Amino acid sequence: MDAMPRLHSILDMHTLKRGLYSSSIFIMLFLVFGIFTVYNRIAFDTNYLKAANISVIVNQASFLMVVGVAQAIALLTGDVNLSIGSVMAVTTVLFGRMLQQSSNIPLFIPITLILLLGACIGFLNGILITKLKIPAFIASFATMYICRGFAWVFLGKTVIYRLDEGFRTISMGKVYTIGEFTITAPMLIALALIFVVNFMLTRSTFGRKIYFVGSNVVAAQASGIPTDRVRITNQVISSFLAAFAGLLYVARLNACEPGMAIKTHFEAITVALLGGFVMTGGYGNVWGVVGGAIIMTAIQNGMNSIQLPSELQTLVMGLIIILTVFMNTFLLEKKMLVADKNIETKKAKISRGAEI
Amino acid sequence: MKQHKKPFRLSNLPNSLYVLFVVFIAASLAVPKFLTPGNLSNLILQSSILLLLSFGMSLVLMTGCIDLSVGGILSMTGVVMATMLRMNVPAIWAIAIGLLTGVLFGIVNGLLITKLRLPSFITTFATMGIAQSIANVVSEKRTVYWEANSSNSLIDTLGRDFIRIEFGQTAKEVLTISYLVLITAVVITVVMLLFNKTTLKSRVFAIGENEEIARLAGIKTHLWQIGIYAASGLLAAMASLLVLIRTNSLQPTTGEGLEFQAVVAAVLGGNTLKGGKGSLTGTILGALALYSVRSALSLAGIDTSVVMIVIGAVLILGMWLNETIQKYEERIVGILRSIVLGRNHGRNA
Repeated sequence: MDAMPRLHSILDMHTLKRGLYSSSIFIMLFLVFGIFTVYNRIAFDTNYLKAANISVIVNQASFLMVVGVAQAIALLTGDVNLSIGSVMAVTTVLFGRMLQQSSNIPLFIPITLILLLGACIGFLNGILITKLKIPAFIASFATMYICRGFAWVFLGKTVIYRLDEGFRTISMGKVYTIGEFTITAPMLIALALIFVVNFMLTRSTFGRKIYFVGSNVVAAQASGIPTDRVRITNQVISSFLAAFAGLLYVARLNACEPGMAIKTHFEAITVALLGGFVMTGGYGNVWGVVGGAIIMTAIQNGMNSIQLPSELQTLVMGLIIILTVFMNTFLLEKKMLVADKNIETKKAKISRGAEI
Repeated sequence: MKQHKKPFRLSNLPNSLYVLFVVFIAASLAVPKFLTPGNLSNLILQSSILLLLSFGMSLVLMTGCIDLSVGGILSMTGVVMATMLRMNVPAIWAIAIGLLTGVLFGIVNGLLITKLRLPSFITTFATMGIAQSIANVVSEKRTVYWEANSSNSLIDTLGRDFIRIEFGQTAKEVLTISYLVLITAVVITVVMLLFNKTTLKSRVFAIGENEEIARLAGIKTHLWQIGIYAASGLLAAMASLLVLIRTNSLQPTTGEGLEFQAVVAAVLGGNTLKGGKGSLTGTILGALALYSVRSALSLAGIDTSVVMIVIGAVLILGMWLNETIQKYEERIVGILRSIVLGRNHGRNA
């Protein structure tokens, strides 16, 4: 008896539409992969969609996912974290010598120190934003300059290279191979991170508070949420994840240099916004970041595979970003409309029931 | 409607006045070569490019949006103008077409943001990439030079000095005001007059405060927003004209990173990223403050990495000063008064 209404609700057009409208990122993924596959097949007779290539794309995307999540968390409360790239540089540069092969310090010490330093910079950001009332954009821009400056001051023009091999496995390690598809350590790390952050955002009280603060700070304050504390904690998590991403990047590069990740803050914002987050805060699902990161890397990889000149790559990237964001906003509006209609039909049903 | 003159209050002063004041005094005391006529004229010339950019940025910020593409537009229009000069197009036409390109690109930005309802941050970020890419393609990633001849003598003329006052023999004792500074001054005056004497200010503030309410109140919000973006594009194109005249050549990467400096100058001047308020005078002072720091540090021979740290710190200091002076205004005025007038005079406004 119970099966009928459930079946009915699955076939319900509204639910179907809502599902379609909230999956804009997958439509874009499908489009991007489709275009590059067809183009590669026709022009070069190579297979873009072969498992080895997909594995390369997903592996590269995992690095972007970590910075994307770091940015997305900052965006959720309506703030922004421009200092991500600089935090990555300054933290790894400061403890670079400890990560070298020649140093005999156990690895967990520099790693803990790096993550702690990242969290401290995040705390500074949070204090600037909430207590000194500096807009997040400017506050994190200032810390971006300060961190990058310190990184240059500390290392100058030199580079620390040849890092500990055990440490490098966190971004170079291969875990398992299925056919041509290699599952690598960064993929698993990114996946675990997304799971944890998703759990925190959707299942914990703190996560719900973040969404509340992002939707309406004044209302959140009025209902007794310590908004300042939530925003500071949020910035701490964001910069902590940035420092973590720094570790991953450094392990991949096998070198610490002060000029690393100079455009990462932009990449992170792009990934997060492609993934459906909004600058005003309070909206977004962490799984969107996965889609955003994969789209970014797939486009980059695809443009390289069809040997597009590098000066045209930014143009194509710009056009695709505009298209994706347009799809996001357009479909989101449609989804809201469907949701409204859904409520109306339900109301109508209830009132009809009352009449009978 | 006639506006009543507001009583003088500290918080009515443009925000960046204090930070400019502090920076200027500190620089003059610490760096002996800073307060010389030669350096000051150089400082004004350098900051005029940023001034034009941050003027456009302030207008956009007041409507509650952001325009990250100004740097890209600067590169693109510069390359367009330089390439035309290279092809021996008369300078006046090259300039006109360059400025038109800037306006058109601004209109595209505005159309994307208003008609497709896209968020301004990511849209202008994407168009920044597009503009930069056009600049790279047209210039083939090389610096564009042109040969001076009769058709582009205008560029040469504009590069000369307008006024030259010599206080002494050496270069640092010569106060020069070039035509570039004059152009900047004229443009700034025109924009300020338009802003303060027409309905532009109230429209822009209304849109920034709440776009929906502004629309319901009968303001053609889309038209105004597109216009503001076009103005921002035009100002960016003018800034690129200044770069082009000053350096007599053009690198396709000139504009990279300038958009952030423009935002910083505007925000130091009291414009918020949320929109609905702001001041253009503040923006001028903000841009001057930024360049004073740069000029003083480079005169003192300090490494660029330290300069970055100092600029970050000055930014925080400036924002903190703005906030504190607003908050403790009464008390500060009281203290100042008791110092100047003696204890007996209370605060009688």
